[in-house]
Amino acid sequence: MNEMVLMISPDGEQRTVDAAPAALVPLMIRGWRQATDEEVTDARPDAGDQDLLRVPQAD
Amino acid sequence: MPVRMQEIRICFGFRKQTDIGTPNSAANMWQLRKLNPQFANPRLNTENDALEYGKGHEFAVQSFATAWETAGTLEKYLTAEFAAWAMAFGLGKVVKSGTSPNFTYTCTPLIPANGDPDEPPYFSLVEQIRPGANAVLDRLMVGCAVNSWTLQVSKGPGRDNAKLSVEFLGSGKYVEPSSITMPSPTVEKLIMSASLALSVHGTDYVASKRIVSLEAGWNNNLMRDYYPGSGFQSSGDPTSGAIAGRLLLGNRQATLRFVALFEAGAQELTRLRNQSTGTAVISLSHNTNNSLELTFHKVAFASVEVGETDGFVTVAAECTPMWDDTNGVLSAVAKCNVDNIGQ
Repeated sequence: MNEMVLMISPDGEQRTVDAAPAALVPLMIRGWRQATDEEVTDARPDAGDQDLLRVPQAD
Repeated sequence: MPVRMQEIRICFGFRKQTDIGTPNSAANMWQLRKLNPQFANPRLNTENDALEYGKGHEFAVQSFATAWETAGTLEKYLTAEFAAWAMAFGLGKVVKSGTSPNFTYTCTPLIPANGDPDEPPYFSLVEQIRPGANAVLDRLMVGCAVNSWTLQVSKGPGRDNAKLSVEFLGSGKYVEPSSITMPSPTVEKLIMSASLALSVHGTDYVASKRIVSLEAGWNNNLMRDYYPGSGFQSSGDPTSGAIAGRLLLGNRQATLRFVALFEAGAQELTRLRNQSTGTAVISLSHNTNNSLELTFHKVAFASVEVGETDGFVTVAAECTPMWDDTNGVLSAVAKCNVDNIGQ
């Protein structure tokens, strides 16, 4: 299986792509950058989801 | 006591500085050899008051330190490690993948219009000769950036036939003594010209045994920016001379030229006349884990001249690297066994 890298667009969109020039170069020249180690750690689909922190309220 | 030039040792950041004014730590630097003897001398520019009126004569009575600049050249035989460093710092944008022993650095030029920085990554460079209490030379240049690199590949059996030269500029800030304990020399993987693969517009110049020499390059045309407030060599001391607060990317240029044996059916003149475009791919390797591949994504022939090299009819072609809508001008894929280059 090919290695994948997490890329982030100038608008903050995240995309995991094949670590091959054919996939990386078109993104890189459009301002996408590789996620930092910290950003990779936080790349769970639910990262930053405030609903996970909300305490259920009684009706 | 005279000092031989071979005593000079240099080390420089393989990781980028956090900003232009914060030097690399020794842990983020590597010691490599070089071929050229030039020093990266911090140069102080000065002015005087000779042209000012009111002195009664045309001679200077006072001089002023104005600004510092540093610059230098690293000329080396082509190695996987230095190639990865030159591409990462020279082009500016890097995606790292792979693991030891196969770290892969995919590099492209920064595109500020698409949100990338308009400054290159910075590194620090140390020059030392007999460091210690009685050092001959021991200084650290801060805020250096790759201005240009040139890859030269030519015909012949020796190391001299594949070289990579880097010219760099610095902010002018330096520290003396450096306080850096130089790391052990990095063992580099040599890449020789015999490993070349070259395809231009789909023509394989190695399979046909036509290639004689080639030169590929990149120039950032960096501009030292002494903007108001850029700072002084000694913080807050205007008599110590200004330093550049940033190095701005100028009008960047990619270059590609090559000489090949000319024979019946050679397409270079036709491609010049038609101004057809295509890719140019240069590959060189030490082994599968240590290599360099440059791709010029769209080139046209700017000039083609039939001439002579060592008694044989040759064609000297100069290409114009152009912007390709999908892949830009140039990309580099460099592989080696050193982690975090340009990170």
